Amino acid sequence: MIETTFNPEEIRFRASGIYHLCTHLESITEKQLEMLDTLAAKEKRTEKQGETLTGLIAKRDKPDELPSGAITHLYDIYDSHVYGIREDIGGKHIDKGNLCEQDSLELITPYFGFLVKNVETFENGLIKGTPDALTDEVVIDTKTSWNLRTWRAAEVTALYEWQLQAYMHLTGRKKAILAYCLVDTPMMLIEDEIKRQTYYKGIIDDVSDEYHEIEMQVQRNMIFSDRIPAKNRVKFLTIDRDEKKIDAMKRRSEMAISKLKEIHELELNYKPELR
Amino acid sequence: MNELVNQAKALAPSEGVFSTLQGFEHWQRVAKMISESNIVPSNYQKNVANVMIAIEMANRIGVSPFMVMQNLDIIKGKPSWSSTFIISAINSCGRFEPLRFVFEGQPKTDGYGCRAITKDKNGQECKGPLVNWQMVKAEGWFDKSGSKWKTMPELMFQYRAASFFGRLYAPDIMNGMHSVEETIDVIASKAKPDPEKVSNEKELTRLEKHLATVTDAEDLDLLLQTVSHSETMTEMVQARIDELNTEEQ
Repeated sequence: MIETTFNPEEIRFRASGIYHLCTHLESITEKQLEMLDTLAAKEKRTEKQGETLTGLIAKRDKPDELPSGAITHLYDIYDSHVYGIREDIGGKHIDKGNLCEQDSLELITPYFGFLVKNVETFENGLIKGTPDALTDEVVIDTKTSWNLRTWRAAEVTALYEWQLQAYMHLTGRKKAILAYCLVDTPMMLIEDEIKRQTYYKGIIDDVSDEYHEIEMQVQRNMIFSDRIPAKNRVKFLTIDRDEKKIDAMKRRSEMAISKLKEIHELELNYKPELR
Repeated sequence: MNELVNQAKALAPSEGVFSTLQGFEHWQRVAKMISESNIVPSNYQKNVANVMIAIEMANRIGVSPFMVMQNLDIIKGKPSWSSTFIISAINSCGRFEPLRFVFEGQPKTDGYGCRAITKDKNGQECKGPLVNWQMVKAEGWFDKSGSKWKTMPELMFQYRAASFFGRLYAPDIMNGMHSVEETIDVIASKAKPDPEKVSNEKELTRLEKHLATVTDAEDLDLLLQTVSHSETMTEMVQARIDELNTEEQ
């Protein structure tokens, strides 16, 4: 049965997923805009140049629309609310993140003092979110890296940039800090990793030298505090509040609500057809 | 127990229950009959498949199916031998002298523990691995809820030492299975913890560590405001403030 009481107006988009609604904001590239200006400034244009100019103007003035990725995200939200279908996105990385949140907060204590883990969910308009921690000036989100390699490669991804813009919008802060932390992996996950690696290599004898070697290497790869100083395991990336982006996320959220209404109508009136 | 094992061996099936069609049909009938009995353990009552597996196990290690059923427990789906069975099976298999348990290290220290030792029939000494507090704690056996390590450590040391000895020197008897106590410990320590509970506990530890470093009353007043949402944290900060005040006086 389709949940007919579903009301898209009640949906609040999570900050952690807002990025999916906010891709492809600019329909025209900087380079194309430059070309448009150059062509428009010309007194005389060839036929081909005229066509290009018309095309570029049309592109620039095209009304904003949700990209296909956003629509897929909205279907996920819809299926979750109406049918209770949620894909399990769990895994070892997520497990470590969940279990080590406090360890990461501890790692950044020398820089911010004692930070209480924030449990309050903030809501503003159509967006909601629960940042990890807040000070009077900044909103802080910790990301626990899986290993040294992922920690070294960690940068501000578009996904996190939008998430933190949303947090700043929700909490009124002007600055956000993304803190990448490399902390020891919980023993339970280390054991899983040993099991995975020994199974993959076909080693079943848990007292053999090969098993022991893998066990030791996995532990070296996943425990860091005994060799790497705390200061070398934390990376701060600052993001400034961007009002243009916040406006865009508000606009796209409203568009997303309309799209959800449309999806619901389509679902209610759906009839199988030969295509 | 040894005597019982010896008697049980006389009743053991002589061939694999799954090796021939006739054998399978015959033992299936036997299993059906046994499963109707209400004096076999509940895991086997009305469960022909479990009884068939017990008969097969009995066949492999050369004891009576009843012996297997009495001593093979299913812990969260894993078949596991009772430790007393492992000890008696090793003692009666004829390859070793009876197991002895030797305690090593200073009591109440991490190095304190036990190992099972014996001699094989050629008089060679066989020494099982040492099980000590360090291992018990590192493997998380002690901390699990309802851990027998807290209430009967001596016995647990001996059971675990016997089980390790069996896995090393008599794996054919144990058929790769672990002891009941071992399985309970391992399954409990592998259970996925609740992230929220972990987070709450770690936050208190973090605060405790932090408080130990704070000596400025003003900082503590600020902290008191920050943690005002939590009664426990407020109490902790307040306790530190009182401690500092007492020190000053």
